[in-house]
Amino acid sequence: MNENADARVEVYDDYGVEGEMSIPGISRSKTLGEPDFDTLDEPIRETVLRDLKAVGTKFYHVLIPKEKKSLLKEWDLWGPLVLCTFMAMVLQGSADKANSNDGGPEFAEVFVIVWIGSMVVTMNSKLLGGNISFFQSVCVLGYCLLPTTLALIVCRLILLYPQSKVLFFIRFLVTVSGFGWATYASTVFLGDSQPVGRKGLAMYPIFLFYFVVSWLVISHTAL
Amino acid sequence: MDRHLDFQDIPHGTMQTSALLDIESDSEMTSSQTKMTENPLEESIGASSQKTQFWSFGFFQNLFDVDTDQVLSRLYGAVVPYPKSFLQHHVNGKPDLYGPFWICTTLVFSIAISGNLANYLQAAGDVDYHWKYDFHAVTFSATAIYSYAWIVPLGLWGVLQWMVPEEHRLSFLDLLCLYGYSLTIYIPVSVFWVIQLSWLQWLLALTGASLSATVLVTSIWPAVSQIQTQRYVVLGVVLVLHVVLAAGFMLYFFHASPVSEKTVAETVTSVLVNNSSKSNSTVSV
Repeated sequence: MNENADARVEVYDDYGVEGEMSIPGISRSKTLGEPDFDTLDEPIRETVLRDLKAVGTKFYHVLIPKEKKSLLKEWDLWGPLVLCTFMAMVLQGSADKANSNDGGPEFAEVFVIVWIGSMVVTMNSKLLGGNISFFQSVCVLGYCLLPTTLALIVCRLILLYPQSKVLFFIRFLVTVSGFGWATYASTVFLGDSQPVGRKGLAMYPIFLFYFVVSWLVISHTAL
Repeated sequence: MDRHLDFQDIPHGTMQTSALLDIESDSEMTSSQTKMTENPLEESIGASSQKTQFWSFGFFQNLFDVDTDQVLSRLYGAVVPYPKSFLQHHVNGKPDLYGPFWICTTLVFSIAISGNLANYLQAAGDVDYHWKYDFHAVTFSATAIYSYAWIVPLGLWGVLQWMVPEEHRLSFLDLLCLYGYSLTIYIPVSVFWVIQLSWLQWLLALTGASLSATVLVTSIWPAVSQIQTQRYVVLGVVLVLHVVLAAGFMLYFFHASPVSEKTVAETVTSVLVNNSSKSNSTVSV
């Protein structure tokens, strides 16, 4: 009788100490940011995949800029980092001096142009009275580099063939469309954050930013 | 009152509904929060009002307090020399830094890009050419332009502080604004400098320099004319610096010289090497 009681207490204790992470009957919310969401007991694959998926959807929204708020909800800088590193790696001038057929920028110079550039553009729109947080704007500007990065990849592939005027013209068209696309997408995402009389003032630096990046893309001829 | 005291008798079912209600209100709150973050307008009004607490941010915000049409009229005033001065007619004691900053930045890249294009056109005559684009033109033009747009106004401001009675002085921000906007004309000029015709390049340089110098002179004359003796010296220095800037841009980035840049560098280094070896030999002798 006594033993029996002890055993029962043990079971009860075990239950009390261990507890359960999920309360039966209440369904856990599956979307990030909601109150009952918890990432403790999910496989690490899901955690990583969720972030990758978030980056992927942002890329998708840049390519098809329909929803104005889609890129502004939650900022992250993974996409910009990946794009910027890729562009810097491709655009940097070749290291050996013998093949000095390039006066291209160094790796760090591309990095500085992209990050300082987007920060200066953001500071500009903040100073003009724009209603957007700093990192949201940096995030949007970084993600909108995607079209110019795609243009860079296409140009790089074209450069594998012997160059001619037609191929240069194609590279020019690709770069210009990448530039237009990037400017249009960032205008869609950031256009509403400015006071009415200042949209032009805020948009001009964005235009200049992508123009300079596109200039780097079209000028890159060294393999 | 009694009914309040009775609340212990509430059956279990209502407890549950109240709990459910709680959850609902909770979710309502979160949905309104997400709405807040969805709407960048509301969120950053709070952020910006917080930020203005720092004087530096508010200070620079005042300098960026311009509208599009205001900037456009200032750009126009900086290109077309009015009978009235740029500072008094267009700036009106409310200088901005938006114009100067972005004009300088635009000029840096327009000069670097069209300078590269001009190099390409010069090289395109050769049969066996490699178009070597030079990114580092950006570095040169940025150094030249930003230092011109800061240091010259600073110097002029110092001279005015020193020589002009207080009521006629111009503020440093006024001068900064004036100098920044006076570079506007060089942006279209730098695009047209790509055309490789020597007389056209000189004509453009002179036209641009004289237009913007007129803007400069009409704006600073009320202050400079108060200087007793050296007023024309000051004015002359301002004009010479302005023309030298224009001519320097044109000659360095755009002008097709008979001797190419590389050979100049080679001859210079060979001369230097020769000289140093000679001096070495004399030392050793």
